[in-house]
Amino acid sequence: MRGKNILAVCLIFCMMAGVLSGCGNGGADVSGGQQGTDAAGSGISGGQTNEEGGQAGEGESGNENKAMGRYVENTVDISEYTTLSCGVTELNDGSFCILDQTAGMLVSEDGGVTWKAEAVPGIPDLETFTKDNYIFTMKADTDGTIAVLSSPSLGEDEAFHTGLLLTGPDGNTLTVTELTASEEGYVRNIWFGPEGRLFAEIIGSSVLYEVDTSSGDMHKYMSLPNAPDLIQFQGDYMILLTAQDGITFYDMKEEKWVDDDVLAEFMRQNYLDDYYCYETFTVYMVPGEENVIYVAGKGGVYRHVIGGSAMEQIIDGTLTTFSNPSVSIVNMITLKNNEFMVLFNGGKLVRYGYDPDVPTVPDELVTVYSLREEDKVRQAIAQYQAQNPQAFVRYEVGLSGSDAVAREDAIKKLNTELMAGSGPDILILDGLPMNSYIEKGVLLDLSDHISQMTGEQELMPNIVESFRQDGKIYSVPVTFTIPAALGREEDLSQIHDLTSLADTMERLREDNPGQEIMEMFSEEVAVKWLLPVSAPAFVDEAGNLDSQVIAEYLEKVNRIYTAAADGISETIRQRHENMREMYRAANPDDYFAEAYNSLGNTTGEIMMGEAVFAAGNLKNTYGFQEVLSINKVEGYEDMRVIPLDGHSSHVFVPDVMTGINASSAHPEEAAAFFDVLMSKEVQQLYYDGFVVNKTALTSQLSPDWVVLKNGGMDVDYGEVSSSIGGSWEDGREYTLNIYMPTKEEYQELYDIFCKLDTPYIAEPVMEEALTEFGAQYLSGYLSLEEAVEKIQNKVDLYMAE
Amino acid sequence: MAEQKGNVHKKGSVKTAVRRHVPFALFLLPSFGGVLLFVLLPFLDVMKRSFHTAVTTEFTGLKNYHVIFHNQAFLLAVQNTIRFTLVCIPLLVLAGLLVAFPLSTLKDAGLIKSVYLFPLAMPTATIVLVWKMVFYRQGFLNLLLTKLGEVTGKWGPVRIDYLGTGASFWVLVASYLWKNTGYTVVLWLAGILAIPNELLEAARVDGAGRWKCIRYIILPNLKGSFYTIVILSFLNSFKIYREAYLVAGSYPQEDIYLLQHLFNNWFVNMEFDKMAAAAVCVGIVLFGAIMLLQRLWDKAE
Repeated sequence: MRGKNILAVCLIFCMMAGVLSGCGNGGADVSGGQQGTDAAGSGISGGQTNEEGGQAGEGESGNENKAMGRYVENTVDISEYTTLSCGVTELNDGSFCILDQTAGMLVSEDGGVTWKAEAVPGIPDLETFTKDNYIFTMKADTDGTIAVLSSPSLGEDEAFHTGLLLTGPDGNTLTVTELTASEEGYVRNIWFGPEGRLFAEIIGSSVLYEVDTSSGDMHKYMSLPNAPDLIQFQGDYMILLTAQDGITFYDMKEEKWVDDDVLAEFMRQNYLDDYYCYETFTVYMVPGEENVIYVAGKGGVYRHVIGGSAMEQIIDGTLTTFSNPSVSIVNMITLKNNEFMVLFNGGKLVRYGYDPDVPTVPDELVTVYSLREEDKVRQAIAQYQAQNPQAFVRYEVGLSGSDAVAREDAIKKLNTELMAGSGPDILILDGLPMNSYIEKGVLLDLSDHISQMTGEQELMPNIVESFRQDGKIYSVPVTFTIPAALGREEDLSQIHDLTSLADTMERLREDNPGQEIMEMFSEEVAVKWLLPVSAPAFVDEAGNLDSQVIAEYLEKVNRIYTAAADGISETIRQRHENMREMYRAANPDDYFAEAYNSLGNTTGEIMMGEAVFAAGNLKNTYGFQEVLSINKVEGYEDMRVIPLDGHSSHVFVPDVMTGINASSAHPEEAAAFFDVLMSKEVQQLYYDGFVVNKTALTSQLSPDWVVLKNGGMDVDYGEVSSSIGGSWEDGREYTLNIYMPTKEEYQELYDIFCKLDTPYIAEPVMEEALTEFGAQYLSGYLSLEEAVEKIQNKVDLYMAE
Repeated sequence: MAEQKGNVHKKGSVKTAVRRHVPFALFLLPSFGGVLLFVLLPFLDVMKRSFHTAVTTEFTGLKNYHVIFHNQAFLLAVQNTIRFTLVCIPLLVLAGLLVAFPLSTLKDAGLIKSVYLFPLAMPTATIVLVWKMVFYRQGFLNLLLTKLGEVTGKWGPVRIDYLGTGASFWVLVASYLWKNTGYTVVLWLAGILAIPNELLEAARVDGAGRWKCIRYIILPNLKGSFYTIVILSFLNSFKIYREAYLVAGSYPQEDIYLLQHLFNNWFVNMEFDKMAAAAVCVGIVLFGAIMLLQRLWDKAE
């Protein structure tokens, strides 16, 4: 018996030890600040950075247990010189040159700090040259040889071809008027190889040629599985970047392909899904020391030994410009001392040097949270970190899309963190229970802070004031859009509310029997379509649902939908059915789900006679340019755009609603990040939505907008800036020249913006009820009274909670 | 001397008692520690929070309790939850018993028992998918009824949205019964088969018919099983929320809006103060109900 008791006690202690050990923190060995980041393969270990910098011991002396040393950015803004850069090259004499299609050749003798413009060797007058030729690309070899690939302006009967201008360091120029190959197609791109060799790729054939630099003759070098977008050379290896295979290696000596499964998998996981390459790259590779390449992209820079088993992150994208979604890589070169120079689009030249005295992970930590990933936030983070190298912004996304987390689960997790006092510093409130957060005191009053934002920092006062509650402002949007309508002046002049809109639609139906008068492909979309202009009036001042307004809204929407759907042909009905399926299947983040109500997407239908009227959200200046351009087309001179009113007027749809956690552990840093998010510098880079920063908005509504300039667009008010076109399945086609709006047209839009005072903030529960039962009413399953009653019941329950 | 002897005896018995109870106490310690750490202490924290505001933690006295008892959503959820429990548990207990009786007479009911237990093994997501296919406006049930109407000529197309009307409550009840009848049958069967056959044979010898055997022998011997089944059914009735949530979301038709919906939505909307007060109330009611059943059980024993 005694033995059994002892055994029992021993077993109990074993069990308790087992239980308690499970509660421990064993194995949690994540360096501070790295946890929670979404950088692919992040984790700059102290050992690795020490190896790179070789001075970590020194750095660690005063910082026990803190890993020291990382690459820091040194940025030079050369945007005033460059518009269409072809890349930066380090020459053998230690100087740098950038070839630019408008500025010519920029040369720096001081390591890239200052630059002076020179003529491109072989092209004394670049402006005249580009009038007669389209430059595909310009490349510089390290010995100073310059190659220019271009195509001349062609006569009607001339076949398209490309020519080459090759100027050696001695000034001798070889001009090849037409590069000829045995395959059909023309030379699309050229790359310098080792020992001055020049390779050329033929478009459409995936055949690589070598150009004889003395005669200009081309010889077939090899056939490739896929057309490369970039070729680099490392010893005997030719390194190719393609959209299909990522980075591949060809041993030029052995004449065989070399497998690298680790790199192939890395590319598949990180870059090939959103691969993009047109003058700039989302991912870039550059040869390093022997048998080593560096791969750069949104995750930062990774070092890889060819054929090796690891991808070592040496520059963390989340701490640098690499993670900024508004920039992409023009080219990148390796320098001495394991440094890098990267030319980003927009004339941003960044030199990356290793600093052993800064912490591997910055000390100051600001956490930003949003339910869905926002590119606008990423851009601000990149800017903030560039301004504050000592700071680290951790961006947490509730719904990453890669897991099965539901919205409610993500919010519950966030709420738990907020309650525990470990919540994020900055909250992007789109999709979050903003009113509850305000009521519970989660959000900081920003009114004093915003009132101090003056000069170039000033925000649109009417937009900001529309969020004032009880004298306090808890959040403001980063951008906004407005509901608007596009149609004939005669029709638009009749529309001033939903009743007159329904009347107009019915009249248009009578005038256009059998024709599609506006694209409205499902009952759900019809109900959602006008919500922004009426939903702000659904709840009365006492906070109760106004069932009369809802009934009116559904009745008007039903009239509009009936008018739109009445008498359309079977072909159109079938197309609507397809669109309905696409809409239902679309993820909320998908383009289709976002774009269905974009006014800018409707010009094609109007041009092709598929619609005579359109309404939706005017989402950005591109959309504005597009809808305004219709009235330059013969027969459409009376087309106009007006803001749309419903039960509410002067409505706008805010996007990226931003607030600061009142319990933030880093209030000053959070406020500084808020300032960056709202700053002119960051906001003028946003192209999706109209920005809230007053100065940036003024810039956005002008031909001087930075985004246009960065894209190489230099047009004045009222000039043609581009053209769009499309074709239908039946072979019909259209093209539309896009005009830069006139100063007056931009001013009119700005005046409309200045009157906006009613934000439409989507209430998911109300929208869901309206869409569900409203669509059933439009389908005839429910009467209006039944639909309103069901909506009322559901929303009442929500409000009663 | 005698006194001294008595003291020795007393000391000895105390020592023996302590020695006897120490292993039990030690065995209980881990599980009690777990309950203390993960249930009792958090519940004390919930009780504390029920007297404070959610985020700013200002003391509010009984305000949160006052708010929830005037909150229409809370009252509706309580009403629906009680209604669901009161309807489901008697039905489940009875249905299980009615199935178990004939099964108990079969020599080999193993396969049939497995069939009854099959719904328990069905993943909730699958059940929800079937629900949607059957009960939606364009679901199989309406198609069947419409076809039947066409054949008989008695009615036209049927387009009832079962999950969007009061019928949703009965759909939920049916689902609960379908899923839980199996284990109830197994428990009843275990109870019935545990009754000594001699008792029944003696009764039959004394002239008792089948009904009298059930009335005076079987049912009285099933009291222990009855209380187990009621408690398990009661606790399982709370699990039906998964199906209700997956099929109709956070704001279902008002007849199937249960307490768990409300708690979930309060969590999402950060109404932790109301949630704490409601949790304390629900905890007290559940504790009271279980204690009541326990007492009835003890009496029966």
